Amino acid sequence: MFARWITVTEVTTAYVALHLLVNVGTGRWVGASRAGALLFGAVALVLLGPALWLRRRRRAGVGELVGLVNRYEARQPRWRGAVRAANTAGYLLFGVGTLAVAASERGGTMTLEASFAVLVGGAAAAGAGLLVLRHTRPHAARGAAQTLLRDGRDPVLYLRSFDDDETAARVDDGADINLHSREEQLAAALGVVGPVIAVGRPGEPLPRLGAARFYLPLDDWQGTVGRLMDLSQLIVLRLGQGEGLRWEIERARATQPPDKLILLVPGGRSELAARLNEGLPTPLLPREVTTGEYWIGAVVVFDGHWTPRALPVQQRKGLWAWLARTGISTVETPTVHVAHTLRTALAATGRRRRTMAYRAQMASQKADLLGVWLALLLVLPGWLGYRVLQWAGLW
Amino acid sequence: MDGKQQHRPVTGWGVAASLLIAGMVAVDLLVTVADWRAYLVVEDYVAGRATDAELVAASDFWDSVRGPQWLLLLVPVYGVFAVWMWRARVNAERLGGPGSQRRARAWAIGGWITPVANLWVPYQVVSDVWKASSPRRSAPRGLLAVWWGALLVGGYVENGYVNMVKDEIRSVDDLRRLVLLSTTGAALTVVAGAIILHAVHRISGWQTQRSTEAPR
Repeated sequence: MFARWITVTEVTTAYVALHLLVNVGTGRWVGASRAGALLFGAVALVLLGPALWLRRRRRAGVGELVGLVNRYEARQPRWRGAVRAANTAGYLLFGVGTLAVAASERGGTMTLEASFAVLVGGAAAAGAGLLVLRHTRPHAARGAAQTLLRDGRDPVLYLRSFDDDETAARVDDGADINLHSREEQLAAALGVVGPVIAVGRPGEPLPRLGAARFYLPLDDWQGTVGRLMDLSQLIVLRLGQGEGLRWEIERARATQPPDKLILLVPGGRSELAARLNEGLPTPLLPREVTTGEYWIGAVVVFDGHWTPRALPVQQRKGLWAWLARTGISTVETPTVHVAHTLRTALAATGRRRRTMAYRAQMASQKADLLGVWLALLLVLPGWLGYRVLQWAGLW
Repeated sequence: MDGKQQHRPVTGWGVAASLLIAGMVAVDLLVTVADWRAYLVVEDYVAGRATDAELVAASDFWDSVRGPQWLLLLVPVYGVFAVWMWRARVNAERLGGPGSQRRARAWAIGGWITPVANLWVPYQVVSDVWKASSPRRSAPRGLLAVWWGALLVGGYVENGYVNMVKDEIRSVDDLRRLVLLSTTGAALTVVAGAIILHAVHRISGWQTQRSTEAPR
């Protein structure tokens, strides 16, 4: 996080310094701009070294992890770059189109004809963006190695039965246009701890969206998963059927500290709790894990002696929860409630992560927000370029 | 959980919402009448057929129907309709099952106030509530599409009208355009208002009737 702040500060100060330099060139507030350009330029230069060093250290820090998840990674096809560019364009169209539609609704100082034109143009852009995103998003999903390199923190390892991917891939109704799956929202919430990675189902044509996938052969996965458990800062395991999952629970219990493991119990599946109890010193009561209302019914954490504590995922109480429930404030998806419970569960193990639910909520609106953010990223250098051209007398 | 919920009475809220909506439509018509009167008097005045006193009287009437007191009507209209909508949505889920509704319950109110979503979500909600409440399990798509189209286009026309009033009217042509917008807006409001009154009446009636039949 510190490295990210240094980089952001470095880029921002360099950007401001360049604008001030253009001011000097065009003769606007010359004295103050010159002093400002020198100051901001000096800060940018001073921060450049640490920013590059931290970046290098970050990438080196996850070397072993990247080696592990990269072992069986297929070579990226050549067209992937084009797909990613199309995906970015999709977000841009969607975000800007949505913004235009919202602006047309407000009207502002627009005439009726202008409002309708902005509405039609915005809706067309948003529709085109949506169409592009529906096709490109799974193709453009970052793999686990790339995600680890970009983030630099130790990961959150998400383990589950492959058969349950279908449930997690469902899209709940939490946005005007619903695009982002439960797993994407869950990964966004857990992203406050670290980048979320998961083993992908062998042979799947495209990765599921959410946790960044890596692939392991069916006959040689246990060693890698075991080592990844050691290197991860948190293991989030969704209970389900399957011998592989059973092995993972036993392995985690045998080799990892109890506060590193968090279990997600699917709603209404008391048989899973009964199976889990076989290896626990203090059993979970089935009603503790089946009272929850959502696709994840309960979150289970452990104390230092592996005594489980179940936290049911339920609707919150209070004014804000009521406002969300009635739609007066932002509509909440079930995964936002899961994130609230996860936050409480993490706090019980000594980790305070206040923004988990907020991140899950934002993830349901990611397409709009990312689109607007990308537009801003285009506008800012564009504005600088325009001013430079003006300075050079070319515009 | 949802299926076990009690029926929520909607008749009283439906009647209150209908009266308020009818009042709002009446206010819209009154504003259009004032616009027409101002336009006709100004046109006569320019042609030398109206006196200063008539012009002042038309202007005073025009100002009086635009007072902020009418805005106070909007709060109970939206508030009471929101309560009716919420209750009707909860009942619809009880009657038709959770799968009968395309949008989550929160959108029954949130759909009206969330930018962009308010372009189609309220239509989906009302349409699904109608479908789940009707004994035939179907909704009149054409009728509801006309309602929603009139409401949406009416909203945009209203924006254009308000912007024109804000920008000041400098000529008879401006006033003519204003009257055109006002009349179009009023016509759309009457159409949308009549259909939603019909919808409120039918949905409330069906839900009340079926509340005695459906399992509690």
